[in-house]
Amino acid sequence: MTFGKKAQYEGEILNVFGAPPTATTLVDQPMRMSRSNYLVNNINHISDQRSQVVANWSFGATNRGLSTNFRAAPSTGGDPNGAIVRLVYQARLDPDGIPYPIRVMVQGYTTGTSIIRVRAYRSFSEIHLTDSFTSASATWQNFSGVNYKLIKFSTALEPDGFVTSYDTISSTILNTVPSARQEIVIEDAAATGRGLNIAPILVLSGLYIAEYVGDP
Amino acid sequence: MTVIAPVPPKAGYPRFGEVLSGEPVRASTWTDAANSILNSLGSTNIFVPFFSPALDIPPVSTRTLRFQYTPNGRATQIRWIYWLDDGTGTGDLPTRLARTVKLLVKSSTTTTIAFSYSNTTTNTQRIVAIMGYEDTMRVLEDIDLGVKPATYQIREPIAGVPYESIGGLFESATAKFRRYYLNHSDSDATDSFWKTSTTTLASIAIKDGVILTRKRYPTSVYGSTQWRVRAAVDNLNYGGRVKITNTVANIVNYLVLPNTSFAVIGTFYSFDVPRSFTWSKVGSATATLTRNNHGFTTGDNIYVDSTTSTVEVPLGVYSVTSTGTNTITINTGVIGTATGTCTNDMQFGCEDYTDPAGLPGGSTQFYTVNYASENAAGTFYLSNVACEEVI
Repeated sequence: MTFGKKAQYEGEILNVFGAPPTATTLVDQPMRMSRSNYLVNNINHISDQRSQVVANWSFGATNRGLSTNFRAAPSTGGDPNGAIVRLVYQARLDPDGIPYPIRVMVQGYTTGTSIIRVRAYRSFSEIHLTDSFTSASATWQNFSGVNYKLIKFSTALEPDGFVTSYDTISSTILNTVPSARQEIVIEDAAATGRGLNIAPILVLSGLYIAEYVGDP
Repeated sequence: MTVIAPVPPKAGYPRFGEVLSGEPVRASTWTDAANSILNSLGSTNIFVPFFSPALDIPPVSTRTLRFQYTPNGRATQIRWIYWLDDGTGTGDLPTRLARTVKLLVKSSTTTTIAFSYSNTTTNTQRIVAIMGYEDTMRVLEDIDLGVKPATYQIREPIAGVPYESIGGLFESATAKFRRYYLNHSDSDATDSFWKTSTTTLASIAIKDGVILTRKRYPTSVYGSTQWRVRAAVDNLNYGGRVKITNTVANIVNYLVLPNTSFAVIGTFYSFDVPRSFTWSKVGSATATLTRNNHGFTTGDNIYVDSTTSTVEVPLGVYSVTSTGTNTITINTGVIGTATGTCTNDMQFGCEDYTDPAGLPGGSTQFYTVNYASENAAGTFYLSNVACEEVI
């Protein structure tokens, strides 16, 4: 993503380069190309700023706020146990249609040694974020030495169902809206390092996921 | 006006330079712009980021979670995603469910919205987790400030139809888009509160939460945050207080609620954590900051993020001396005589595009929320802690 000559402030869309504050004043008037250029790139820039926090949950020190529901069943095998939690959100997209990267932090504890894995479902094959940990208390876990990790996407998302049904301009009503849904899966993966008799339990106790508009 | 134009083969996105001087604007370019708005601007403010209330709902009863946030005034509907443990004891993972509610009032002022769940079974059920976001409406009304993808006008280069045209798109794009950092809630029911009867500040069920603010301007280092709570008491003689801490920068702010803040026992009221002071200096470098029931204690750090005079009260972090219930002093380092106003904030760092992970200084920003009752004879309750961007 490049910022190029894009306007730096949201206010510029109206106050400096933008359209009049009411759409009706445009009516059927032509627009200068330079102005339309600014407008389009303002949109791009505002879009670039529009990242959202998907998850913000951190278990506290009291007996509330922690659920053991988001857990992996004890396992001693070598295969993943499956999803602990699946999140669905509508992704914001780069101009090329690729979802913004997401920053992920995972908090959990385990009774033994567990591996936690994060996938982005729409790009399921390309995302594997794993961490092996042994913490018995609810703490943010480290992925490769840091407790956050950026997941970058490389597959463009087609907004679902946006152009499914119109064939002439004047008569067709679109009954669907764009939906660039992205699914994030937190799952537990078994590992060979697990004991065969003492199967650990993994409990998810916190999660932070936020879209990132930068281009790491 | 209807313009015949090629139907774009798929949703696209305008790129810088795509609109060329001296050339007519292709309708598809405008359509691409519309798609860009729809997919990045016009949809899905996530005002309740995923969190786990772990809220148990007894058999044949209803529990309500209430959240505070400031919508941007666009037409929208709310999409709730929640995870339910049905209490059947099968050991299955909680079921992910969804519910969509259309907002009848398009508002751009801070509001409280509710999510209720009725347990009609004989099992105790549990709302394990919940998240809420705006969902694009399929059909907008004429008064809606938004994007109407269900009409052909959207594909016209320029049309004069408010709210339904490309001009409406730009109007929509000028709405204020916030980032909602967190929105935790517990039920208003008496068995579910965050509650305390001790006068010593204690943590609620949030610890080492993460805050990373949005970088709005090229020079931004921090982003301002507005914190809100919903609180109640069981004794009208006593109130309570809330302390928000940026544990990385060691910056604090307080919400002190005297007993007069509450009119009815057990009724929850919404409060903003205050951010404003008045200040005065009389021939010295010491500025006296005044706010009713400020809550600060000597040794606390305060971050002044805006002031009417950056000469007399430069922006930055100050160590506080508490001189009264309503006054604190700071050493501005500048001798002078003046008065003015200022705001304080939590100094949460914003995204840093020079860092590989976008983190300010390469580190994560954490917060904690503590609360206390004014007196051991009274219980102080919280049912919502929310934080959103100030724009």
